[in-house]
Amino acid sequence: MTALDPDRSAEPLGGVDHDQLVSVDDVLAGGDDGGDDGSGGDEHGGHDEGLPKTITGWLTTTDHKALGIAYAITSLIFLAIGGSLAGVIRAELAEPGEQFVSEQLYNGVFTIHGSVMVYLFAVPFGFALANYLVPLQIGAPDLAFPRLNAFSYWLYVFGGLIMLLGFAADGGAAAFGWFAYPPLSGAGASPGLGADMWIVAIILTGTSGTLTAINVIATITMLRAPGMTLFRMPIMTWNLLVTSFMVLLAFPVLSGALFMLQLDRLFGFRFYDPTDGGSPILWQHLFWFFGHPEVYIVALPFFGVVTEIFPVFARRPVFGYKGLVLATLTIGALSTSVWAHHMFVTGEVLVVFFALTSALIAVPTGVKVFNWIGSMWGGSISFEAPMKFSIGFLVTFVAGGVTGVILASPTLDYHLSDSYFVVAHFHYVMGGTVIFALFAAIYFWWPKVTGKKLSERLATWQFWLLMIGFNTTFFFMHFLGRDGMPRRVPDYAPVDNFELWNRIASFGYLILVASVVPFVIAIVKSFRAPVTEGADPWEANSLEWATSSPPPEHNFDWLPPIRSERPVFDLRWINHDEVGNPDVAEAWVDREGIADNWRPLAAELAGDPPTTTEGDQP
Amino acid sequence: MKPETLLWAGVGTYFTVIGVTYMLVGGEPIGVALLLMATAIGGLIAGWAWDWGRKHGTRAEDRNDADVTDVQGVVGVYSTASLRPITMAIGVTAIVLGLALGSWMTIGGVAIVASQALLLVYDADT
Ligand code: HEM
Ligand SMILES: [Cu+2]
Repeated sequence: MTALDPDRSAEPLGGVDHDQLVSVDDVLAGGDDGGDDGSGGDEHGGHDEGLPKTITGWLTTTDHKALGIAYAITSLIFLAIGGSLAGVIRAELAEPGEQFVSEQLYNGVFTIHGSVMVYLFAVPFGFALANYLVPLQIGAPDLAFPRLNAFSYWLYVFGGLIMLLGFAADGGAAAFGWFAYPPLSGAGASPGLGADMWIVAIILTGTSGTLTAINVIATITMLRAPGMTLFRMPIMTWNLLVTSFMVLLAFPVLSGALFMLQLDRLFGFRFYDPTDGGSPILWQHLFWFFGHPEVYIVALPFFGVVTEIFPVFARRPVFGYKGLVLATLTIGALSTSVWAHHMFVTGEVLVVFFALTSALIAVPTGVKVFNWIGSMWGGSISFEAPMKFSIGFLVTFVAGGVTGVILASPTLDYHLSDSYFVVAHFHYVMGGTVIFALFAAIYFWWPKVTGKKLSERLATWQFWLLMIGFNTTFFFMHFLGRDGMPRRVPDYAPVDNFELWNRIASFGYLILVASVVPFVIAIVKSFRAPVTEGADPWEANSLEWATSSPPPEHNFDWLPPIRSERPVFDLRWINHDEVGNPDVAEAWVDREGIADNWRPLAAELAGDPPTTTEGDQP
Repeated sequence: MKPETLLWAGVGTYFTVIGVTYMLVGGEPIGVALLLMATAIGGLIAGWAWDWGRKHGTRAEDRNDADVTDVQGVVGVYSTASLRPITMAIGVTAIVLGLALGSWMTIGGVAIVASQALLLVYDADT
């Protein structure tokens, strides 16, 4: 019990006593009683969750939940590494002059920082969510191709290691920025092995991503449970589907472009060499055809996270389900048609075409923000950890959107591009949002994965430290940029307020580091705590909450009828068709005599105590 | 499969429209090619879904009123552990890294991948 337990009486129950609602746990436990197949008998969390127990087990596992956890842990390790590299950047910039690193090393540090964050942390965390959640949300036992899934995971791990090992290579790590423009990334300007390793690393992680995307699309197409039509899938799953399609379009182009770059570098090909029929503009087209969708490939899974969380903690259905699906599809489509807005300075692109498509993207994005707010509007909101971090996400996202509008105006853009204003902007939209939503996801699904809740009190500490630390670090970079501090420099003149603002930003970094402490304590405490949570600790909506926490091997011993996009909500309200979905009660009755372990729910809900016997203390 | 077919056909149509538009307003050939490639990928999935639907008819998961009791049998057989994925990944990594480090590594990688692919055949039920 924490001080933040939601006030259930505040819930808009329509005059219904909260105790009269069906809880998933009762149904699951009831199944044990009635079942005579001997497969039940699980108490709360006392069962085998099917995760590997040995190192060999983890190295060879093909289970989607194990791999989902592995993806999450690995990408968090990369977040820590990318964050430490950011520490090097902030230490160097805390004062004018070159203190800690040479210019060459500084270039390597920000390149690998950006690359680790984008390629090895943010995107793979999306795959962690896809791995763990997609099968659970659609009622499937696993992804469609489990071994392919494990293969993708290992390619990602090896690719990541190779990128980091670049620092040990002769001449240091790649130092040409995360978008690797030739000729800077060519053999002439970057002859070192570190550059080759960077390219290899991204070819590998790109291939890994492509294969995962195929896996997710196949799973969603072929393995949905009966009743789970496309338009009943949770928005999270929809977003992961669209993300996967974008990966399928974008990543092979990147891998191909990198492969060509490697041929140029190693074997004297001239794809990007203007002196011999090639063109660096070709690289820019290929890269940004990947690079702009990449921003949404990073973002959409996290949009999905908050779309799952807002309705649960506002106790309302998601506002405008179809609109959200359509907005996601539109974002997916448009974001593949705007790439050259990153190339306006080359003077060789159709400015009008790309300015128009870019402006259009604001529409579906606005729809999303509108629907998120609509989902909370008039609800009875409670501010448990997942909700706090989701709101942190929303605030950061809107702030980043505002500076994005400023950047989109061509005259200002000319002044601000390649300045710290841009650094501030993309850390708001890409860094802050991802980190807030990431922790929202961890706090929200932790009870599902482990059967335990994380400490609310520590979460509150973490949230405020993160909020303050993030804004201290990045807000003043807007001023730095406005006053002309360029990005990608290890040194700056002690003019204007450059020193002051840089020092504030570096101080903010320390607060950010401090925000990790409560989180780590919460995790450690949770590992020592006993399993306490049932299947549905948040009273949530989607199918993953209909199985025990942690879920058994192959996920479901039992499925509720699926008649809307929130089957668990419908089950909870099955006897109150003025609130719940009447079709569900009907489907339930239809199961009589067909389904194992069937029992009449209505009787129990009329006020009779649950007919369960031993081993079922709530 | 009908909703899936329509979904992906819609995706393919969008990229056709945008690709052709881009071409007509004078876009450069790389962009046109990339957009039409997107058409192809969307169309590929649509075609596959359409074909599957034609062969197998309506599935329970396409019907609004289906429930678990409407399907029988196993969804699929799932291996829970296999040594093949990690060894294959090592092989592929060696192949690509060998481009930079030397052909001996690529050759080693090819050997690993080939042997693992063979073993995969015997691996089918693990
Ligand atoms: C942990 C907190 C973080 C701090 C303090 C931080 C700080 C910075 C700074 C100061 C730069 C500019 C370096 C320069 O131009 O000289 C930078 C670049 C960058 N950061 Fe971060 N960052 C953080 C987290 C993130 C996250 C979470 C992401 C993405 C998800 C990210 C993505 C990038 C990218 C893409 C670049 C551009 C690299 C380049 O210019 O090639 N950062 N970061
Ligand atoms: Cu863009």
